[in-house]
Amino acid sequence: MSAIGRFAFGSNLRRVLTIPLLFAAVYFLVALFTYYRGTYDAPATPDLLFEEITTPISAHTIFTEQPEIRSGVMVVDGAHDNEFDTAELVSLLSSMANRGITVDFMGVATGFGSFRRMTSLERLEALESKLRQAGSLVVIAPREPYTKQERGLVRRFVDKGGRLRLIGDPTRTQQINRLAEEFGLSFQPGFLYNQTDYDLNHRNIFVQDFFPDPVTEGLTQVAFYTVGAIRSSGPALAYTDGNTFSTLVEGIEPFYPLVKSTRGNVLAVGDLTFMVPPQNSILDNNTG
Amino acid sequence: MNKISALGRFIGTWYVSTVLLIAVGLAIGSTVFFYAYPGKPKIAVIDIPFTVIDDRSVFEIGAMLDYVRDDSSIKGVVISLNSPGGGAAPSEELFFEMVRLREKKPVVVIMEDLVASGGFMMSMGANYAMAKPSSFVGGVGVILSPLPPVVPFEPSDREGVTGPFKLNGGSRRHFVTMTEQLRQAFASIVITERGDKLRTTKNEILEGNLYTGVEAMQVGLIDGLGGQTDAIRKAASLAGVANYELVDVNTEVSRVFNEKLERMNGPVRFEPNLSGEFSASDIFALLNGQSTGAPTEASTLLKGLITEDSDALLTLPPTGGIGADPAKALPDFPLSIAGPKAYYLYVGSSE
Repeated sequence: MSAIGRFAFGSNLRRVLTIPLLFAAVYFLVALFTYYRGTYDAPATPDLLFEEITTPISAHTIFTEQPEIRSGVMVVDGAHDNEFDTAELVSLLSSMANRGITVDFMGVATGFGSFRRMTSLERLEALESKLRQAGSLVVIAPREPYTKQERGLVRRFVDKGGRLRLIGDPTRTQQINRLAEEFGLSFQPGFLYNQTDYDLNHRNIFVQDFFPDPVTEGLTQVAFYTVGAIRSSGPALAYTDGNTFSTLVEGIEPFYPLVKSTRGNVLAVGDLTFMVPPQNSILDNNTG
Repeated sequence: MNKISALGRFIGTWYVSTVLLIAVGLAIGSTVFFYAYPGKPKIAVIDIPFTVIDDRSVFEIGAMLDYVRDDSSIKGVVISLNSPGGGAAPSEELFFEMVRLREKKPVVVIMEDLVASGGFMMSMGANYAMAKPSSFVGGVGVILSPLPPVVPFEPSDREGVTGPFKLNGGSRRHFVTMTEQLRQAFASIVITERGDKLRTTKNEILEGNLYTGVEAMQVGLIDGLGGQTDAIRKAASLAGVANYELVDVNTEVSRVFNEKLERMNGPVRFEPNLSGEFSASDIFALLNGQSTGAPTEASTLLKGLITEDSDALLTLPPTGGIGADPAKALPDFPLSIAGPKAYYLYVGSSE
């Protein structure tokens, strides 16, 4: 008998203690092997580097303009249920005032920054009357489309040398294409975004490529704040870089957020908010 | 007497007593193994059907996560998840809870129909993320709403306010900055948790796209494709267990909760047509002769009870308190209270 056997079975007391313990251990080990094949090694909890998060913020610029003093009347359309607040135009209006240009709103102001809805006849009369003295017409995000007669009036105005400025904005409901198409322009659906180089948000894109034109003179970099692309039969004035994409339009890169009509006196821009404070003081947004 | 002494002699013989001692040993071994340590292993299954993550769902899911964390016989956890996300803070809470659970036992998430945004963030806290080929997953990003208007509020001289942005918390640009910070933080979680397994760029993730399970597997947003059985096997494998029992955690937590409630409430039972209709503030409103949002029939019934035993009801707390409607909490405050809210949520198209 081995030493262990002699120890285990050598006396009754030892036998009573050892045999149950031995078989308890055997049972425990067999069960352990039956149910468990290893242990769980918890993965190291990675550090979430929140403190390294930075947000790209573009520089504000101090705008010092010495514009050429001109004269004339700029009519801003407020008669087509246009989706803007007059407070948003403060930068545009002061820029026009600096140039000696009188701004005249077409529409009946409500006193709360918007305009009362007008009937189509009232609109037609107002448009005819305002365009007689206007040098330029600004149309911003009209929710009421221009009727055939109204488009005819604007066409004659442009043919006589009047300047038309079309301002769309993808964040607003707009029926601007009915008028834009009259001049070979088309505001595209969706909006442009850039995930690589942007101001605070992917929808706020930079444009730094411009074609030479009096409108783009002095521009180095402009930040748009949710802008749509525009197609034109005329010249494009600005185009986006290779990292800018459209949410809806594919395969026509680069995109053009600022274009002219073939004859040159219709200008279209796909964003209103780039000229709204404080965005108007970013980069060259206030230039031109 | 002779029979008893014969039995004693029989037991006393060495081979019989040895067999008995072996049986005792086996009984001790099994008792220790099954009832003391380590016990028969269990794999817990938590079912989260289509759930928008908010404070309430965090409470319920949190209770289930606590249960599986505290039960030492549960060696691995499978979470069957179906969620479009929800509030940002509740989603983050669940992510951190998952990470805490993962430190103790392996967690496998099996993504069902849709696991997007905050739901996807939650699943990033698991050891192993699985989806079905047709599951929709991803939707990384944040919605902050409402943003201050483009044209700021007119200042009012009716309220004394310290700081130009005390009322609304910042300019529109400041809120856009905060949105970007949250977006980057979400991306940081995905990139850190997926690590080398990620086979796409940060920009692509941040586009907020949904992916099918197949695509998600290809770009490394998940670890595997399969069903719940595969998830259970994976959890068992990570836990290092071979034979296991399954625990339905939803049922177990409900049972425990009901037992606790019964202990707290004792024999008290609510009338079936009153139960769930009223809060304490509703009763207080009725006492003050105000109307409540509860159905008229139930209001009438409760008014009767109040008349019968109004003294007891006078001890109810005043309006306000935890979770109360802000308008009730500060009835004299002149402005409406509506702070910005951040969501990690997939909204989807309305059609």
